[in-house]
Amino acid sequence: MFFGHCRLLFCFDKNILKKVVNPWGKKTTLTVFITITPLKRMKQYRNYTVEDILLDDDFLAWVHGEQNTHAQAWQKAMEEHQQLKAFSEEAKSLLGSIKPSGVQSAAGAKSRVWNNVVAMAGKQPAKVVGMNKWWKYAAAAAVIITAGAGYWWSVNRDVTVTTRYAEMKKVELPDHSIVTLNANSTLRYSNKWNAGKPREVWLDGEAFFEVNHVNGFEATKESSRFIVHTDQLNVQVLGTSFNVDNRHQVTTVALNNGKVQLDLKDKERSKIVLAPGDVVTFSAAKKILLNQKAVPDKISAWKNNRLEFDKTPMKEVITMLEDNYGFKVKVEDDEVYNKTISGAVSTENDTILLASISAAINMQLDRHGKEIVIRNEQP
Amino acid sequence: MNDSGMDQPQEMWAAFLKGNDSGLEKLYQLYFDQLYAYGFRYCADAVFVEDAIQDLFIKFINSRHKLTLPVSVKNYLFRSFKNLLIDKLRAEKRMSASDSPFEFTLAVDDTVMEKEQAILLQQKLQKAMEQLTARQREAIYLRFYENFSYPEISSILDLSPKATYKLMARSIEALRVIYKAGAAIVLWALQASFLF
Repeated sequence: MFFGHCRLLFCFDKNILKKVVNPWGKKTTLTVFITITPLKRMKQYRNYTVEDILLDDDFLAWVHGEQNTHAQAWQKAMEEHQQLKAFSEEAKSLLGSIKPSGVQSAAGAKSRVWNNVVAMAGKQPAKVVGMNKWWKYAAAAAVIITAGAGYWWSVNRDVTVTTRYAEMKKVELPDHSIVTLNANSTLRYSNKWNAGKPREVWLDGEAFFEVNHVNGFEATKESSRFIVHTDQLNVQVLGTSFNVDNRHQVTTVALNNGKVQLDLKDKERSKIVLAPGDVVTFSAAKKILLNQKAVPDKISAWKNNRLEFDKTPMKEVITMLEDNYGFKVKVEDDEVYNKTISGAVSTENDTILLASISAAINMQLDRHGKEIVIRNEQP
Repeated sequence: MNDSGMDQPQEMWAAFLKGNDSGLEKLYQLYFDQLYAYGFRYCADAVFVEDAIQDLFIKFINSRHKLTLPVSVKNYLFRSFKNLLIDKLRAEKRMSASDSPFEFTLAVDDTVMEKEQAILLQQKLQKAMEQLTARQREAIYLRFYENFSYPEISSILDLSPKATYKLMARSIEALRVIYKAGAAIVLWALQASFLF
């Protein structure tokens, strides 16, 4: 913060100085406003490297949108040095798009902790810790007992629903929530859900969830929770509809409406709360965490036998053809990987689907049974 | 006591020192999320971090008469919280004397670039972050994401300003590699959009 400023030179307006100097040499009190303008900064902007810029407090004040002298100094430097301006804008947008993944406290933690503070302040510190621990273990024990009893008494059986390639199924869960299971996917859940336990399903593949709120006197805090487990993350639903795609060790969750929380299975166990329109892609194994804004209806369009593409890379389209239709795609011309598709395609007929893709990318898709060969169009 | 005129952290803290607990509550409301996120990077255990924040504010109330008005309240909160975290981690034998565990994952919000490029960038970033020491990661976190100045970071990390500056310079050097990768990806994306 202070490094740059020690080296500032200032220039004073001589006329103002004259007014200050008293010709009789007597001690007088005068209030004088002097404008101090930095004459020249000792910073060598011309030779500035990337490190210099990133280490510069003025630059960071400007990036953080502050209204102080630092930010103003950077604004001025950018006006005087064009190359600095271009770089700063680029660095700002890049810094803005890279953030630590969100960490969120549990619901209600903020008010609970403060209530504890108020209740426990003024008591012996050692006693404070003890009380807190006791409360925690009691709660843990209660959970274990409920879980144990539930396991002992219920005759729960797992229900497994699977779909074949190019097949789609609608599944009604014990709480009347509806799951639309996309092709080549598996959904597993217990056939009987207890009031004191969260509703849980396990997904391998892609599905669209329309989750019911639990109402009436049977509703408890636990049973109002709805959790979708995938190998990469858990989706905690707070009443809602959304799309989950979990394949190739990558899970994508798109929220149509309502609110869900993702519990990522990464080192930090990060939690992300989604708003409608959020599309989060996560893979612990491949170290991917993306948050995109998209029209969720486009992502879940498959449930209406349609696919909607929006500058979708052909690589993704090929993966989709293999995952959902069981095609084996052979690429003879790598040119295909440079192409993207936009627009809607009906999926009710394989032939029409393939013809539409072929027309969109202007390449040939030859089909031999379950094999598709993509090559450049012959003249 | 009157709550008006308590918009600034300094005023909240001053009110608290004079015996008005709502000043402290306001600070708690203001900084809970940031303290929680910071603590979580030391120890990814929600109960532990909640306890630590609880202990911190109880300690403030219990030792109110000994406290003074700091230049930056946020800086003071972070510094006190960090000291408490480290003591607590060591007391519970979750951290050795030498080991400093600061870790965070970077997420790429790809509104400025295509998904494929964002994935590439995110993977490069994560790799580069893993190369940094925990202290370097913490310095970057405090500088870029909590917007602390060098003198403030040096007080949180308990280093001299000179050593902090050096630590930052080395972290930035590592970040520069990332930036280059990022810039290359953005350039590539631009070219690609011209070609197709």
